[in-house]
Parts: sequence; C-alpha cells; structure tokens
Amino acid sequence: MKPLQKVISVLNTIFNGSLLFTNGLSAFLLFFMVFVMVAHVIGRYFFTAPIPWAIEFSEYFLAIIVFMAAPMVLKEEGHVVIDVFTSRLKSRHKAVVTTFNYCIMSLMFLLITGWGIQVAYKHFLSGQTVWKTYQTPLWILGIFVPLACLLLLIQSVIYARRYWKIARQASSEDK
Amino acid sequence: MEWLIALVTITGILIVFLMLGVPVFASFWITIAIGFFLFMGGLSAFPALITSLRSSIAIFTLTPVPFFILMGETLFLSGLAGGIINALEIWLQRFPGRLSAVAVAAGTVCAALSGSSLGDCAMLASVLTPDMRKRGYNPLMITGPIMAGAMLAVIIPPSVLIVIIGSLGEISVGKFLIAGIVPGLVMATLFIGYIAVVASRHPELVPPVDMAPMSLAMKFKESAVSLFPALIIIFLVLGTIFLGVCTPTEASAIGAFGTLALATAYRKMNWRILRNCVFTAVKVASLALIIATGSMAFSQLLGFTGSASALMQLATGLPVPPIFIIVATLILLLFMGCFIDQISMIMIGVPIFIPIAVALGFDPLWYGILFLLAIAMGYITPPFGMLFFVIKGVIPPDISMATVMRSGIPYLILGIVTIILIILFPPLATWLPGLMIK
Repeated sequence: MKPLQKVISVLNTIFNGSLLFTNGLSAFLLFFMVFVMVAHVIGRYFFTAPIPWAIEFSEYFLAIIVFMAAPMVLKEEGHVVIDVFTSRLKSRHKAVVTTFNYCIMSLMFLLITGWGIQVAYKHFLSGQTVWKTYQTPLWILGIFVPLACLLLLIQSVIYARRYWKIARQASSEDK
Repeated sequence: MEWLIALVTITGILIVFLMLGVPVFASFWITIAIGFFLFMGGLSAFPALITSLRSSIAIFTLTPVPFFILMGETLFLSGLAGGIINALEIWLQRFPGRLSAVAVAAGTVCAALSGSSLGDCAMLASVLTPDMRKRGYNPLMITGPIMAGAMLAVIIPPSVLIVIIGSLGEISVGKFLIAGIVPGLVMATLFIGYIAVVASRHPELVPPVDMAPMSLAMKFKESAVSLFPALIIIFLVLGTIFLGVCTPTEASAIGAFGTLALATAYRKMNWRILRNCVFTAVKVASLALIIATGSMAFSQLLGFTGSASALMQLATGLPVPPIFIIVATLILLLFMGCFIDQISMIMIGVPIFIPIAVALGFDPLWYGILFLLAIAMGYITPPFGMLFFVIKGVIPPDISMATVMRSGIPYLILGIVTIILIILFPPLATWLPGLMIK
C-alpha cells in the first residue's frame, strides 16, 4: 500500500470510528434519559424525592442526541429529501445535481463549524452559563453544533467526491 | 413592501434547494444562513444563528419525540404489535370486509401506541397483505384501508407531529395530545363505516364472511393476552397525561420503559432487538428533529423582515369572514402536502398560520387540530404521498402504483370530511382537553 493510501485509510478508520462513537453516544443518552425520567416520576410520587436535574438535562441531552446522530444518518443517506424532480433525472444528471448539493452543503457546514467554534470559544472565555438552576457552561452545550457540523462536512465532501466520480463514469459510458 | 421581497426571496431559495433534492434540514439551514446574511446584518448575525440551531430543540416540550419513537420501534421490532392485530381479528370476525376493517382498527390501536405512520404502514402491510391476497380481497380494499389506518398515527396520540407542532406553535402539548383522540376516532369510524358500505354494496371486492361465530367469553379469552400490553401502554401514556399525573415528557418516558418491560415479559426482547430499537429510534428522532433545529431562526427571519406581522395584518384586514382565511390556509396545506413532507409543512406553516388563527380570534388548539389533519392528508395525497411509497415497497409487485394511489382517494375525501366536521363542530377537538385534570 502506498503511503498516501495508508494515510487515507487511517483517516477513514478514524472518521468511521467517530461516527460510530457519536451515534453510540446518542443511543446511550436516549436509553439513559428513559431511565432518568422514570426514576424522576417514581421518586416524586413514592419517595417525595424527584431527580432535580432530570428536566433541565433532558433538554440538553435531546439536543446532543439529535446533533450527534445526524452525521451517521447522513452517512446512511437517511435524511428526508424531496425527490419530486431529481427522481425523474437521468442517472448522470442526478449524480451531477447531487454533487452540486453536497458541495453547497459542505460550504454551509464549513461556515457553521467555523462560526460555531468561534461562538463556543467566546462563551468559554466569558464563562457564560445557561440561566437555569444548574448554570451549565454555555460552551459545553454549544460545542456539539460545530462538532456535528464538522462530521457532516467531512461526510459531505466524501459524498461530493463519490457522486462526481459517478457522474464522470456515466458521462464516459454515454460517449 | 420590503417584507414581500424578503418573503419571496426566502421562500424562493427554500423551494429551489428543496426541489434540487438537498436534504430538508440542510435546505432550511442554507436558506436561513442566506436570509440572515441578506436581511439581518450580514456575517454579524451568524452567532445568533448558531445559538438558535441548538436552542430550537433543547426544549422540554420536544423531549417526548424520541421516547414515542422508541415506544413504536419496540412494539414493531419485538413483534408485540403483531399479536394486537390477531386479537382485533377475533372481534371483527363477522364484520363485512373483515380484514379491511381490521387494518383500520389495528391502525387505530397502533396509533395509540406509536407515533409513526410510516412504521405502522409497513407493519400492517407486511402482516395483513399476504392473508388478504390469499382470501381474494380486491387490491383497492387492501392498500386503501392499510394506508388509512396508518395515517391515524399522526392524529391519535402519542403523535410525534403533535409534539412538534405544539412545541413550535406554543400550544400546550399535553392538551394537544388529548385533543387528537376524538378527531382520530371520528376519522377511524368514518373509514370503517365506508368499508362496511363498500363491502355490502360491492361484495365482489371482498370475500364473504368465512369465520365461525365465537361466544363473547371466548373472544375475551382469546384476545386478552394480546390486547393486555396495548391497554397497559395506552394507560401509561394517555391515562397519566389525562389524569394530570405526568407531563407528556414523563408519560412518554414511562410509556417507552413500559413497552420495553412488556416486550421482555412476553419474551420478545433480546440484546439484538434492544440494540436495533434504540439505534433506530435515535436515527428517526435525529432525522425528524434536525429539521426543527432551524425553526427558531426561521421564525426570527420572518419576524425580523416583517413578513410574519405583515402577513398577519393582511389576513386580519381582508374583507372576508375569518373562517374563509382558515379554510384558505387548510387548502394551502393540502396542496403543499402533494409535494413536500410533513415536518417541512410544519416548519413553514406553524410560524405563519397559527399566529394568524390566533389573531383572528380562533382557539389555537382547535386550529392546531385542523392544521394537523390537513398535513396528515399529505401522507395519502397523490402524487407524492409518503405512504404510497412505503406500502409499494411491501406489497406484491403486481399491485400497481396507480392502484395504490386510487385506493387512497376515498380515505382522503373522508379525511377532508373530518376536517369539515371539526370546523362545524369545534368541541370535537376541544371538549376532551377541557376535561383534563390540571
């Protein structure tokens, strides 16, 4: 294996591992939330001791679940798409449009990643917290958005490259 | 008229990206980013956009969504839902067009257990279609009732869409969930009534009744074991909300826990199924709620450009009775349902239509139910109703797409009849939530 290929293979493994980890984190948090909320209700009615952080943290966990699972959903191309027109296109044209879509998405994810890191860093420096009971630092909650967008960005670039190849292959077959 | 230019630009960009096949959540993000850049002060508005992406879904009223999805996945993947269908068959054995009616009845019960129309549709089609084909049911009496039954999951609680509309439209989610019960049951009754009429007037479409009569005691005995988990789960979710014991989030978590516990007790759960349930729930919750991440920024954009308030002033100032405006919004939603998915309709419609309905003096709960019914119709509206594609993937290939679409039309009309009934008799939507214990 050539050195460059080896590097790409290692990066690919790291990226796929990251997706599995973030997806696993989402699944764990969902399962954990179920038990926390049940314990919260049982605690409130049977022991007069609800879990005080259950409600506040379930909001944060929900956001983390949604953002952290999104890159895996994109990898599986599972996001909701309206294919009213694209489904009628020839495979080559469809591949070109899809390449364009992923390029635009990559640009957007890049912007959100950059700005998201900047916003989280500002929150970190200023020590801002959420105005709720537990005063959770804002940067901890905010960092999940750029983190998810970074993974979405990498996945979009991978797909843009893949669909461009498909478009070129289809084009040469047409000729 | 600056607001009009802004509104046309925003909706134009959104439509272009949606039609290009960009994932719906990304289309909203791109539109919002461009909108923020053009109308809200350039790049300096971006930090607000980033914050709103997270804040839009870190909301307590949205937390039932993944729990309801987990409940539904557990029911389908563990096989508990299959037993419910068998139990309902026993009760409807002498009914004309028995299995068609079972499809709607099972759809109604499954709707009260899960919030996913697509999941219900796939499950009902895979369980009922082989038997219906073997017995000689006409394809129109197979696919239509199955899709109609599955569509009820959007209306009868626990419904994921009710939670999202309630949360984004600032309607009490608990009351909204309970408000869906009566309209859902009215719709189910209309569907079953239609099946009985068709089966009686066109006996060639369905086979004759072929089951021996069974005593009432026997029916109870045969169906009790299978229906028991359904009754328990319905009580854990709807009963606790109605009695004021739990918030919708707590009730949904208890429902999910109860479903997992019952599946384990019925020996239908193992590590592989549990893993599948949780991962599928995470995936479905993510793909549904990631679209809602743009909701706050989208509302901010409409508010900042003055589009929302101008549309409201325009609607309230029109020299027509207010109910005409409500009907117009519903017709627009029915039209949108032909082309775009339900969550996109919510994202576009909720920040504009619900404030208009409130400004016109209507009860948001009543309008919320009408909004919900209108977008639910989108599941069986040709040419792109989502249930057509789900059921086509499960039924035998010789049943054409044209037949599938044609079979849905009577139920689409009955859905519109339900909307008209609720417009004429608002207590159908507002009576039950009024009885809730606070």
